[in-house]
Amino acid sequence: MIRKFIPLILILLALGACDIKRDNPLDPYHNHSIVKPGDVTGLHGIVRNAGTLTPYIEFHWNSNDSADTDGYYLYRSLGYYNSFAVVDTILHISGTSLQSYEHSAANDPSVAPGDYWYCISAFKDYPQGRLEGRLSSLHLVRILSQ
Amino acid sequence: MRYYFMKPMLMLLLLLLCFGLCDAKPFDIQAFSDTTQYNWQDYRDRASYREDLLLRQNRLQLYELESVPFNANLLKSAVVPGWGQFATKHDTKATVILSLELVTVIGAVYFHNQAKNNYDKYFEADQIDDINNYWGKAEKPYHYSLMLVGLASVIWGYNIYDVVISTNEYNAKLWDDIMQRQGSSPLQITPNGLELRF
Repeated sequence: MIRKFIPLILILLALGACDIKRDNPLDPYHNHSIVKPGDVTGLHGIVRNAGTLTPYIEFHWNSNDSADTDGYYLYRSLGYYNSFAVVDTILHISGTSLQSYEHSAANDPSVAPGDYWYCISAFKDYPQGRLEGRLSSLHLVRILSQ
Repeated sequence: MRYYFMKPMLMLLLLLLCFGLCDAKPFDIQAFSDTTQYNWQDYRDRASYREDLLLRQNRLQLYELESVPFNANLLKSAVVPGWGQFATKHDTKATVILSLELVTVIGAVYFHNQAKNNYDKYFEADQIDDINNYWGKAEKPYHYSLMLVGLASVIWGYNIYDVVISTNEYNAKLWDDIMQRQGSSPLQITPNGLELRF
């Protein structure tokens, strides 16, 4: 009776041996020396110099642990569901509870009156590459013309 | 060196030939031509035996012409599942087997390609959400692909099992058909052409 199932068992064993593996060198599930960058919280932006030629947005967010964060990516989008583009890469400053960044029209002419959605993520550098963490919750910034 | 080896061999062969000739019995033409040893009482018995022999030879030749060669049919079905069943006139079964095999193989290739595309994206990803997302998208179709490969293997195995059974059945039925055809009709189709019996 069991002989009838031998080919089936062999097929299942052969197929089981063909499983794919999580072998991305930056995957924390594959490489346990990789630490996932912490989630960034507390992002808020304050618009300064609104109505002038050089408005800028002053961003602050809570500091991540230096053990899992080397820097941050700040993203911006024109809509909540639109795709996000990296505005700048900011290096982590250890020893402070808040990190900050200024997105200014003096450096980036796209900082103009309008509504913008910002979010931020942390990253950590490894010899295998740079691993980016999860995106923070979105933050709306409105730059008024006058 | 070769000469020294051959010489004793030749001597041995000659010796064996001599012994063989000494032991040989004279050919008995009387015993050979005695027809009673075959249970033929007269020339009619012999003629009827000859007719029966010819009939059997005809049947065998017809069988060899019309039968499906077992090994060739097995190979056909191994290469294209269902092909052997088509040869044995099991068209519905052959169509089902071929269709199922095609669907499972095409499905397996489709899901494997999908899994490979997502796996490549997973491997290149450097953002934790992308890594998890693409892994999930690679793993699921890969398992579907494996399941379909397994199913295709089972169908292929069944197809091989079935072609063995159906070829034997077909050939056995063909032999019965030939026997019936030979017995029922005065007009016979023989390997040599048409034959009309009175």
